[in-house]
Amino acid sequence: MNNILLFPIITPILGSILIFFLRSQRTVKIVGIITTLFTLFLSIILWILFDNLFIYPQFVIKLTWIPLSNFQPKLGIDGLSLFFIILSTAILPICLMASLQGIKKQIKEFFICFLILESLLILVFSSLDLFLFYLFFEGVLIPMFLIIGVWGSRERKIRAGYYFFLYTLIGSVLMLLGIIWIYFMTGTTDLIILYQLKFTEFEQILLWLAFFSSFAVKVPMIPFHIWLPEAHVESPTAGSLMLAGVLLKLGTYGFLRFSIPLFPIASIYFSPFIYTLSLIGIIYGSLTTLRQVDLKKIIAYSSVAHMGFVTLGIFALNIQSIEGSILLMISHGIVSPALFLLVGILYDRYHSRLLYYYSGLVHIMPLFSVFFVFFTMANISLPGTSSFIGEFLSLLGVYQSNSSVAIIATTGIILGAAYALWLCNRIIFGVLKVRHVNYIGDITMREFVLLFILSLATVLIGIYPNLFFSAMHTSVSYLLTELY
Amino acid sequence: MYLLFNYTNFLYFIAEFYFCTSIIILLIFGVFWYNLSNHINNIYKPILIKNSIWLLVLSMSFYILLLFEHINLQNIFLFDKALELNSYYTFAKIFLFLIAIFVIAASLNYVKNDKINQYEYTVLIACVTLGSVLLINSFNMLSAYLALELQTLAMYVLIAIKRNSEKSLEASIKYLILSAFSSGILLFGLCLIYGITGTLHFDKINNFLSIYFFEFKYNNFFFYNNYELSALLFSNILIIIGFLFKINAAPFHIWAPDVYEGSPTSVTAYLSTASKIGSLFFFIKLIILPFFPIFFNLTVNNNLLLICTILSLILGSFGALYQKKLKRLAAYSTIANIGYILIGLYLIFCSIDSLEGATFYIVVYIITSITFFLILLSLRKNTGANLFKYLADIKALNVMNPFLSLTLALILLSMAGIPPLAGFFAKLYIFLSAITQEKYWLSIIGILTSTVSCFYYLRLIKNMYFEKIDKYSILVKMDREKSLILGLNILLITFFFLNPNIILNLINYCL
Repeated sequence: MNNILLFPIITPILGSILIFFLRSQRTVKIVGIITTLFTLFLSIILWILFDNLFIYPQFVIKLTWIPLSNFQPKLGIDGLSLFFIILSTAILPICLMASLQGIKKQIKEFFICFLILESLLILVFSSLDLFLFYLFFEGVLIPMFLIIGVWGSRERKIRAGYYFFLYTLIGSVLMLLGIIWIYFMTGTTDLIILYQLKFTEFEQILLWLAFFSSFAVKVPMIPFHIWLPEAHVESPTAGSLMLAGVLLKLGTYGFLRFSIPLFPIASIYFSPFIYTLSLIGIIYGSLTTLRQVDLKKIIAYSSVAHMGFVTLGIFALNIQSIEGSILLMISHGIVSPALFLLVGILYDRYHSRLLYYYSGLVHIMPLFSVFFVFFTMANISLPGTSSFIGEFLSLLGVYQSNSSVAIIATTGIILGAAYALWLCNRIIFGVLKVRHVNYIGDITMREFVLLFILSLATVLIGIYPNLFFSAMHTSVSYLLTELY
Repeated sequence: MYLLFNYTNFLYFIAEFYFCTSIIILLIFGVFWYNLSNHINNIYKPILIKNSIWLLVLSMSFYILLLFEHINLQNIFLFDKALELNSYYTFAKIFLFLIAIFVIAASLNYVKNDKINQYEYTVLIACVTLGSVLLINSFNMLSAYLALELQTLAMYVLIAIKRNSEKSLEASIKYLILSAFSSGILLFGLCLIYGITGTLHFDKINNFLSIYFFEFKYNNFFFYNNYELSALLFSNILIIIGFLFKINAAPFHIWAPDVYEGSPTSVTAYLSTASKIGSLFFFIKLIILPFFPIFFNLTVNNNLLLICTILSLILGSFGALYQKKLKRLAAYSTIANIGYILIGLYLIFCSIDSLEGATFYIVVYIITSITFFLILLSLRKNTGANLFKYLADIKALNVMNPFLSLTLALILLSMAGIPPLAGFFAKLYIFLSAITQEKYWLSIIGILTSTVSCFYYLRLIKNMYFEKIDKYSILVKMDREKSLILGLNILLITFFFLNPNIILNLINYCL
């Protein structure tokens, strides 16, 4: 029972090895989906067995077969990382099920890429060691680069792949130098030990900047966000789902896990800086969304705006805002993939993502419109959906810390409503553009089931968020005791 | 009479004796067998090269077996201190011969397709290897120079072995002239050292220099009334420059892209991997044994190595961005990798621990490099006679041969330093030792050039995976030997992180 964390990590790898030897496409798809569902089942077992009142990480496994000097890495789950693991194992079956029709060539390699990606993600979120975290943080780049580049839809995908890879890499190598410096100064990279140590102010500031350069690219914060619209537009539906659902959370998870506990003085020192960048992200992101014509880019920029709220909440450094940000991350991880799924449905039918061609879809796809309006409301953070709880709590926390920032951020909600409602109105309601319609087909049963599950999750979190908060309280409080 | 009973020389030298004998037997075998059928009416001179390649592989394997008992040695001197045997050098020699076996076995298919029908090819490769062995083991400036010349002379002929290709001849002449020039510089440095210290043995030079610096503790470069120190420094710089040429460091790297491109691909594979092992390990020995006091006490020679390191890193990474041919790209990436090794060597003077990082990087880099060249050797269209030359030829390799493109992708990612492949760990060690010695700017330059080099590796991966071409062609079937070697290497590199013990313990033990 002690090694239970090993199973969700090994299952996708075993699944990918099994897929490697299969031939028929149908078997590949079935095996892939069953593997991801089984991994989801295992991670929900992890949630059930999770002890809500335990401060230190649970289900700790020591990886003892790495024989380098003084390097005994551990994997374990904290209150912070539990939900990210569940999120990543939950988004993956949805990704794979959404791409059953859309991917036509090299299906086997597609599934293998995703399964390896899932395994790496679980390893990232559960690693309790700086070096191991960096290893898997970088390792996530390879499958994602292949997914964007091989199965993307247009020629610009190559440039998108490059942007994605090189931006993230350049940010991360500075983090590598920081990690090596920490190892040199303290002799260990084990996180639990490092939480007890204190660095001097000057060291904290430099190291915080090194770690920031890596996480800021992933979040993405302005001005390092340029890879995000490109990567989202060019990647296939499943790739966008994965990217928006989980990979954006890697950056903010890094902030929570490393920047704040290890470098508390520098976090407080730099919080006005982060406020500024987040506010620019929210307002600029929302305003830019208003002028986009590509459906996926609209949702991509709205991701930038939502992540602005998240970082605002994290660096307000009180318990409401951090819990709100984590819940906002989870809800963004449900709502954004749902929106990308909806746009993917449109793309599968009409093969165009331009805004001009769509209008009055309620006449021909009523069920689609229901879900689209619902998720638009979730994007706006309508009370009753999960993003309301997240945004409300983080803004509450930010108000405690700095009220003018909270006021400016709240106007961002209005801008969020602006672009989301405008998008929704433009494509759903209105007069049907008959000359562009060459295919009339509502959403299929498979897509309906996926969207229904996502909407159910949104409403559930919106109505009963204590389900998630109860697991987070201990860890977030422990995080903040370092600061005060 | 006394020498007849002192058989330790010959006892420890038995492996090299065996190898020399096998070279001679190979040569005689070639000569006799080649001319044996002269009197038959239908002149059918047998094409001996395949036989001789297998025979050489066999003799190299026996050499490795003979070397196994030398692993525990510490500092045996042979032949009146002309050669030194050590566990570190034995490790280097075993590694060298392993890589040489890989290259030679891989060139079987190449010589068949490119019709290199001279059996001297094998003999020459054996001579180069012998030269490298003597170079690694040498303890005397003179024996080092002799071994170096043996290595280089055989290399001149090897590069030009394709007689009817003018690119090979041109490459060979370039290599000849530049190498002769640098050997001349080297020789001048040697003469100066001999003139000042009166000896050519490494340990005696070391003694002389340490006593010298112990008595005169100055930190300035120019002495007005002491010619010896300036001459010593001058000769030191000349010798280092002579060897920096050999290992492809900038700013002495200009011959590398042209020679790599012009020579036949299996010879390029040999030149870039096995002959570099010999030169690198000798360079390490050169810095540590004779010239250590100079580097340790004065900072001016450290600056030479530092400038070469930074230039290699920058020129290697940025130079490869504009290349359109595969072999030139390989040459520039070699230069960048030598830059990383030089970071490790530069740090030896701060702490001797970085030798382990440098050795580990050499091992991983040579394995990666040989796999890369093996892949280059196997990219040949079924219809044409030539290997793939241009970067654009490699488009849509994913469709033509998925395993090969996966292998190439993993090799390129390892060279770029992406975790969890082996190249990342090698770079990590180097940067770990750099930051431990507090050389922050050097490590920042190293890491930034690493990301620049990432770009052209990604471009190759992009070409393989993301491009579509109109007409797919069928590649030549890969032969057994190459696939075996490729499989072994790629498994080593990909699954290195599961058990790094294998290589690290070996290096630790041998050091």
